Amino acid sequence: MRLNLSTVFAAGICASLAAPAAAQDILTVAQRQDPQNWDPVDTFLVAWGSVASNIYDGLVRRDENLDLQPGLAESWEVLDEGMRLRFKLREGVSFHNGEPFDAEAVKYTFDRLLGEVGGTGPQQSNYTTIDHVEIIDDYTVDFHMAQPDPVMLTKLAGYGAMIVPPDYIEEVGEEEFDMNPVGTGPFKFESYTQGAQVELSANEDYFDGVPEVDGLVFRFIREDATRLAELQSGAVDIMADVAFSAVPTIDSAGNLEIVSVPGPTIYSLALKTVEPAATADLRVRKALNMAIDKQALIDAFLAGRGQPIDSLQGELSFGYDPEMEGYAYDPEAARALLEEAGVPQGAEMTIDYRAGNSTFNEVAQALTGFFANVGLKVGLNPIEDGVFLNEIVPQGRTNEMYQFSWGGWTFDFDNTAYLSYHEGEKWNPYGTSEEMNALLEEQRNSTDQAEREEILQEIARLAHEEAYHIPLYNEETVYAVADGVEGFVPAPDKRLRLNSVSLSDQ
Amino acid sequence: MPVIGFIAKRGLQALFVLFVVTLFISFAIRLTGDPAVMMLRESANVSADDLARVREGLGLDRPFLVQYWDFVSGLFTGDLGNSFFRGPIAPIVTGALGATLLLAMTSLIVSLLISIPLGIYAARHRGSFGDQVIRVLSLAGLSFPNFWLGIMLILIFSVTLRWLPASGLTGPASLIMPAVTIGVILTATNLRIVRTTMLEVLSAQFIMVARAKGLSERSVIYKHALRNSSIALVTYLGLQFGTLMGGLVVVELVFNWPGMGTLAVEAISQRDYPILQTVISILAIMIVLVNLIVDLVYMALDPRIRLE
Amino acid sequence: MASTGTLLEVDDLSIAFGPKSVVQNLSFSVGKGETLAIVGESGSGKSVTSLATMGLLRHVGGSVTSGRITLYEETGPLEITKADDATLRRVRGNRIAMIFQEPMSSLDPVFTIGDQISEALRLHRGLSRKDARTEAIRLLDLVRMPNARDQLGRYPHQLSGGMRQRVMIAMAVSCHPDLLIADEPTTALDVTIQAQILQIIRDMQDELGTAVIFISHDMGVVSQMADRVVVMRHGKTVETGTVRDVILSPQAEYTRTLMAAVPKIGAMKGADAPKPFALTGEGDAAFDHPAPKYGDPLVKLEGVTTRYDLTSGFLGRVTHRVHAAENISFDIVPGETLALVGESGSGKSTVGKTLQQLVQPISGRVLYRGTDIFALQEAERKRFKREIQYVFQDPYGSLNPRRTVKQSLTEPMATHGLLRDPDGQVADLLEAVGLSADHADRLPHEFSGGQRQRICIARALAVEPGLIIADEAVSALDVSVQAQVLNLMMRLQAERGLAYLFISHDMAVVERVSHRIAVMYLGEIVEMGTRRQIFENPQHPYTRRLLAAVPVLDPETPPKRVELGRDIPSPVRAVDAPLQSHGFIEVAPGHILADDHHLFEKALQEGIQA
Repeated sequence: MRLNLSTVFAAGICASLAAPAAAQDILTVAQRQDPQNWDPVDTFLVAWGSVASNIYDGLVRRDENLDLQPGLAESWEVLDEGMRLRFKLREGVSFHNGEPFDAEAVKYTFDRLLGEVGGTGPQQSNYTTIDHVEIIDDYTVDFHMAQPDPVMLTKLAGYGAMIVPPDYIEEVGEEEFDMNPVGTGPFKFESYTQGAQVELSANEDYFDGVPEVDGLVFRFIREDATRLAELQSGAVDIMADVAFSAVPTIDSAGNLEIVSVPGPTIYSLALKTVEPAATADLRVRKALNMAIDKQALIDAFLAGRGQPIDSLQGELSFGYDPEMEGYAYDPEAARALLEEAGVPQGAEMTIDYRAGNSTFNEVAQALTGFFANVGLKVGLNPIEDGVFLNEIVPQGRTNEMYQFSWGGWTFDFDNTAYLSYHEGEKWNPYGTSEEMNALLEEQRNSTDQAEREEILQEIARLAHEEAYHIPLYNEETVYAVADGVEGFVPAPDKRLRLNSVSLSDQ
Repeated sequence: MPVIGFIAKRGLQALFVLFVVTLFISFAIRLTGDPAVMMLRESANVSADDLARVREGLGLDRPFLVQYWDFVSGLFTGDLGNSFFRGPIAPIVTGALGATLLLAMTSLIVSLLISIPLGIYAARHRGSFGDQVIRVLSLAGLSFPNFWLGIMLILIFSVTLRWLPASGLTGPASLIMPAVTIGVILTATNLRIVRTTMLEVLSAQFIMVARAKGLSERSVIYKHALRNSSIALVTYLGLQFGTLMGGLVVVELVFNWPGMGTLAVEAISQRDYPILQTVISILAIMIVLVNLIVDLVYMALDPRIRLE
Repeated sequence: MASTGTLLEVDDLSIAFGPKSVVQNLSFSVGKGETLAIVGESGSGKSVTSLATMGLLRHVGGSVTSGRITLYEETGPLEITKADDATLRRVRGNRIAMIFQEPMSSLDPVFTIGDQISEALRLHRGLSRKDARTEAIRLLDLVRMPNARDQLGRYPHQLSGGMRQRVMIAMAVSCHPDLLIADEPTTALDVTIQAQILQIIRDMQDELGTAVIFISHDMGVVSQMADRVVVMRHGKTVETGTVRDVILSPQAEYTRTLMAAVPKIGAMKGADAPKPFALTGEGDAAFDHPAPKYGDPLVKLEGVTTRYDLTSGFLGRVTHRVHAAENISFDIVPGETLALVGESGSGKSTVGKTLQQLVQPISGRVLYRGTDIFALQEAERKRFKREIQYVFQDPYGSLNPRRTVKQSLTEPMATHGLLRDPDGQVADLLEAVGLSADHADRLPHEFSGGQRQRICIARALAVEPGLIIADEAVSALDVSVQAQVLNLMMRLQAERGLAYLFISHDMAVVERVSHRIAVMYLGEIVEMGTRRQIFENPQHPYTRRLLAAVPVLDPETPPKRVELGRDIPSPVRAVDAPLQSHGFIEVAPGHILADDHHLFEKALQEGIQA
């Protein structure tokens, strides 16, 4: 045991010694979760993206406005009605270990993702529409699709599609790569201490803007209060995953600033559309929608950092329709509709929701108040995550209302809409309509983005008319930034790219 | 000879306890949710095939007893297998165990260094002003919730004064606040135990006999009285160990200490069975081991136990 | 014995604990080589005086308020009451040493005997570890410790009380002190062991010329040990004089009362019935004690055997048994007192507990008025729990401190359905035991030890029993109180025809109160007969030893030399050891004797040599 103790101490001391001298600018970011491994095929955590976006590049990059920009590919074409994608690759780029980036690396990356190695991880399922990658020449590749996938370009900007170095992986093996990753990104991987932090150093040869700082440290601090204290104490420059309850404290501190951006995650209550639930009646579902003052919820529990939504997407989502009008907050009309549907005053309903998210717990409490206001006695049924996700929802064993919250990291409404409305999907235990199924399939087979956008808007309108859900709000992604940090732009998808951030003398 | 027999007997008991604990843990953990679903919960378009593939990749498709056997045999061979999400378990767990032991031992030693002299002082000057102060302080120490105390220390020493790092294990300075947080509670209870047992021992006749021999008060207290009262203290520390571990989980979270508690909490949230069952088994082994050590120390300290 | 010159002088000494004065204006002196006894009952201040002489008073919270204690050393007088700590430490254990009352708690349980003896040797005589060890062996030989060399590595709990007291003496005399203070050194010991320890102290004194302050409540012991006596009461000197003067012609009223209350062995020669003490202030003391009616026995024990299993080893197998009581048979008739005498481990208390149904015998019968108690159902046995009552040794522990006397007395009456007129019954009971009816609403702590024992007796009487078991019921009481309680018990027997099973180690008390006596040794009765048969014509060698060991209250006769034998053997036997039970022969009508009595001395000798 003595050995272990001294090892830990040594590790701690080394870590502090290894930190570059004071003359260097080191940017420190604190986030809640430790991604725990660095291989793009193994991860399923949003927390991974905020770190790894600085290590790896994809063929395309999604910018802060969610527009696609050239990444390792300088340009691309959609061919054969979406059955083939051709990428022209950037020349003169090398991985951090000096290995050159070329078509071979792209093919290797996707063969690996779609093959045996990718099969044990959670990422493969996102890319199964790719059949195979063909090398045309050193700097041109073709993606042959098994079926058209309009979202594929977006997916290539993140997670499993990050380009990895073939020689390095073959040389050191999968396990070593997982713990000592090499990419082409703006920062090089230096060291990782399990559960504590990862240290990166600037990639002076980066093709898309050499980093302003010399090093980047991500610290993983699970407790909200502790993470905030580290920011307040000056040990951390940027704090991610700011709890809504902490926003007023940070706002009132002179040397800290809140920066936020609409995020991918929306919250809603799904409604049980089959008998014997009272919500099988469309009038009831509409009435429930009218009973909620969404802005009030946002102001009370999200410190105002959110937007009310009328479909299961935020305004940054592809398929968002700014013209669409939701159900306005109108308790009078709601009561009338309920009466019309024959629901008696004091009728009982229940909300199933995932226990453990303190913000939504509070929201759920407040929702019962709104429902009481229209004469419904609504009970709360918090359920442990695993049970909720495995047993309750997919088996169709919910009560009248159940939580549906989703972070569609593609920011394409297809992602959320398909699994919420298409027949046989996990989040659609009670079914929708043939019309809905057809629309969902139609947009998937189209490569015309304008047409897809129209269909997706149509889907949202249809879902609204049928009131399958009570859409509540789109959460903002909230960061707190210390004085002296300049050029920080929050990413809606939490994929922070920090090469343009600099530290001024404070 | 009786010592060896005793160890053999306790060793067998320990093995049985471990068998029951590991079996229960492995079984119970699997009732809490499917890690494949947890992994894929943020991926779109998950099919049953995808789930099956992930389950196979994680080895979850094998019969429970096979999985259990792999796990238990790994505990003995040291090959603990791989985490679902982060590579080989052995280095992860040894690192966390080291961090936890470092924290626990530091707190314990600091607490004993404070509580023994103060406890002796309070016992020798029973009812004095100093004794009253010590008793009030130890009561106050007992009534601090770990979590609250930890946050308060951070606010004072990191946020306001900026003397100490708020969290993490980054060197000796980072050990101070977590050790103090646990140490305060330990000290409060230890102090009471030392004081009470000292009071009892000091009123024993053999203490008066020792004085009557002409021994200095120092050797009366530190040789005769302390040795006798340490028997009760050791017993108490053994009993306290489980509580100490529970307190450590909270304190580790507050100070983001990369120990067993933080590891367990993360493993729970991800349904990382291999890590979770290893962590719990190691905690069980430690509790069994600590009790064994307590018994042995007890035997070394008290000839009445040793020679019966 | 006394040589010239004063060793210690106590002059006008007063001691207080806070505001409470416990010793007032005490003066005495001890000559070189002399033995001075300080005699007194509890609260007389005798133990506090000894602590003051050691300079240890402040450790128990006391202080000297006036006067001085002076030790005359070769280098000149040293005033202990004014000496600093360093000086006191030099004197303690070196010039003045002390033996305490409780040998069981006088030694530190976690250090070996050798360590504890060596400690003082190394401190005061500067011996090396090795030399200290050699010297420790010599000292243990001096106190006749068998196999002294082997004893050094042993721990206190491995030794009997007698052996521990020998270690204490060895430790005390290790630095050849000029003065040895012995505070009730034998009170907690069995009588044969007491005789040995007293012998060792006398030998020590002869050999080393040490002066002794002997603190005791036991006049018999004092008469054997002391040259001069100081009698103390309530912190004041009552009388000082030579041991002969104080015992044979006490001057002070208190001393005379004390002497009257001391049971003197052999004083009952020729008398058949128990006889109350002639105490001043008890007018009705001289009542006629009616003879018991020898006919149908009230209680009859037939071959009662009780053993306890001892387990050991890996599987917890039974390897040894305590043979607590073996084949015990006797009768008690109404109005009779049967005394059960013996030393530690003799099984006398086990017999009492069996009768009280606290212990289930493994064989044999207990008949109460002809009914076999243990053959009955639980519910029916309850009646016999009422018929047979118990009075324990410790009057402090046997009353619930939070209940008034009335509550304590009415509870057993209510349990057995005997409560008719609570106030009247309680008043009657209290008067019967010599207390007044207004005591009923008080709590136990408001009473003295003797009064509490009276309340315990009243509680036993409350359920109108036929038999009272008195297990060492007066052992913890001061001698004058003891005499009063014994008188009370005898009077109640005379008035109510009660039978007593009187369990005691004190032969002098037993002689006073009993009709018949059974002598127990290692769980068996070795001799039984009327009091006169046992005291005037003891047959068994063990009975003779027991009687010989009782200190005789006669300063004119020097004590007989005591053989320094081994401990009382243990009643624990291996499971497979052959059972050696003996039969009885009747040496006279009603006087029975173990038929293997002639083997006893031989067995004892073998035990010593083993």
